[in-house]
Amino acid sequence: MRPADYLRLALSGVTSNPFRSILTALGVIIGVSAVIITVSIGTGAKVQTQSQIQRLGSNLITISSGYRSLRSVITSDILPIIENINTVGEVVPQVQRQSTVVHGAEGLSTTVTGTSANYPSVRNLKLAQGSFLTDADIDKGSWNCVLGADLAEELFGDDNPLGQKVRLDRVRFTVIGVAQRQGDSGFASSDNAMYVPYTTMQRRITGSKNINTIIAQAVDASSMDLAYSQIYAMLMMATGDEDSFRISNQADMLEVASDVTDTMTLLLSGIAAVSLVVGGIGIMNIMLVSVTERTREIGIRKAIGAKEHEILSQFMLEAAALSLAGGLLGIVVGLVGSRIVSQVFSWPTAVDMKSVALGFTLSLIVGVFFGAYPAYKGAKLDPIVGLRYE
Amino acid sequence: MSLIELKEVSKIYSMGKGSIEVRALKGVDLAVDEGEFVSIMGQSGSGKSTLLNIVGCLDKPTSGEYWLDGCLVGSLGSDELAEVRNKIMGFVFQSFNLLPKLTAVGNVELPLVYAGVHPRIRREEAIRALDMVGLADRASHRPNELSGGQQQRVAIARALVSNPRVVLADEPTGNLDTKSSYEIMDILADMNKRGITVVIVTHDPDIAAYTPRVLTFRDGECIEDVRALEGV
Ligand SMILES: Nc1ncnc2c1ncn2[C@@H]1O[C@H](COP(=O)(O)OP(=O)(O)OP(=O)(O)O)[C@@H](O)[C@H]1O
Ligand SMILES: [Mg+2]
Repeated sequence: MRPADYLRLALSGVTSNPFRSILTALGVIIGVSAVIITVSIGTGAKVQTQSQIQRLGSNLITISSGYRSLRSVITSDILPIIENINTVGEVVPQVQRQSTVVHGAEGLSTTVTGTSANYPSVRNLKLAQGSFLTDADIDKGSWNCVLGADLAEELFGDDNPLGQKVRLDRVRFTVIGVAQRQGDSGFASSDNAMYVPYTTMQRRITGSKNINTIIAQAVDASSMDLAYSQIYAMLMMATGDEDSFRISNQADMLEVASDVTDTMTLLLSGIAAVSLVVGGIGIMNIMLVSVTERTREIGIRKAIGAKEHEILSQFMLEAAALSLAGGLLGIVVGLVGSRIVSQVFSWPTAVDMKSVALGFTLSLIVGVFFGAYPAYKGAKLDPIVGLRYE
Repeated sequence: MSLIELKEVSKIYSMGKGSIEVRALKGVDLAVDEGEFVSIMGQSGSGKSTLLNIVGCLDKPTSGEYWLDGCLVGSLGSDELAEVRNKIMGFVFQSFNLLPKLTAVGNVELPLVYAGVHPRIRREEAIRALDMVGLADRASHRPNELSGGQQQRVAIARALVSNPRVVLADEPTGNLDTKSSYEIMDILADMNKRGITVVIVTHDPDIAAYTPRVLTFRDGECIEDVRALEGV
């Protein structure tokens, strides 16, 4: 038999009963598109978290107080010690509190961060208007503040916020700058924020020398590990208690985040792959029916000289064609589906060519694997039995 | 040596767990020479179809030897048997056995598809075979658009298309009226004149009268082998 005849035969098998073929392929379509959509959601989430973590600044080490310590050891006293470490460049304190900011009749709950003048350079914050706090502000504990983009818009609308007064608890601050919009960082909006000198924050609002987090920036990427262990050693020396503080670096965060999304993706695409197997069983079922229905046809073909492997190929190719058609349609549905997911749910998706190739290969394997037994059954049929079949 | 030689051929069907045995053929000896025109008669259940299926390499005897053109058929593998059916044998069945989805010419060219013949050439051959049975104008009709006699002629064209040496017909006129039956027999006789060995199974003595040699079977045995005199 000529190759073109094999193809013609397989195609005529698929197209002779189009509705049944579509129903049969549906399982594969759903399976393949589910694999592609889940993998694209997973990849999208991973890419997004990574870029969010990167956006927070680079080469950062975060120091905060331990979970179990009653009295925080992370205070202003620690700052100069960390600054003195040679592998550490910038050090940024963050004294944070959720509080209500009032302007005129407007009152808004916001995250107030008491920090130092180098915050924008370390945390990638850019100003839209005015300027950030200066070292002079920090030193004398001034009443100046900088607003996040959302907060400024909520409080002042179209008015120019610069030079205006806002009230925090009983303290009045003067707005000297407005930050550029940063977008969601996944956990909380960094645009609903207010920045004040940490010295003012400690004296007037929190009333203690405690600092929630100290961000230390290593001088370069290669000194991250050294900076980390030096800070650790220094804190151990200062506190003598490993549990009283926590340090983490960005690489750890990236790793954890991508581990989490990888696991999720694997789990979800595992579930999707199960539906592909179900689709394969559907193909096997229909191919068994088809072989039985065509028992007489097989008998006739054998009587006029069809060899076993020719009958085998006829049915295998038919199953493969069904499943491949399902796979190709599934890829299209998957691509369209992940586009829809990202638009309707505004989830980030990233279609990975690897997942498309995976879907294609899986559908081929499913067709060949589940088509094999019915095709073998047809090939081994005794021609006499086939010819007698009613 | 004859083209077809059966030696002590038996066929036993064992039903269930070997308790009941049907002995369809009981040690049949038979020789058919190239170019002969033979009919096989006998009561229903006497083993005629069983014999024809064995001769056509569709079925294997339980015991005994079948020599086809000096070759022991029992020693052939399934691919070689398929090759024999494709190249040497042509079959005509009582129930036509055409593929309903294919047109007349599609059915006729099927043996050539399995022989790997180029599509253009096999189409020409199929049309020529249809022409020989007088159905060239029905080439693109499907079996359900043809009369019984026409369907049987398509089946004969299919048996002829690969230039077989033997044509086996199991009650080829069994489903047809007298007029169509004679048309079919005329075609078969014509093929025989071209040198093809033709063996038919029939219940009808008038049909058997077409053939110079008539075998009669009863209970799996050949009880009579009559050759008509030359020129009768
Ligand atoms: N597959 C089978 N299994 C069991 N017994 C069978 C089988 N095929 C045929 N037989 C038996 O073998 C015997 C001969 O059958 P065969 O079909 O050769 O008869 P026949 O001469 O062609 O009859 P008819 O003229 O009715 O077609 C019968 O008794 C039949 O019951
Ligand atoms: Mg019979």
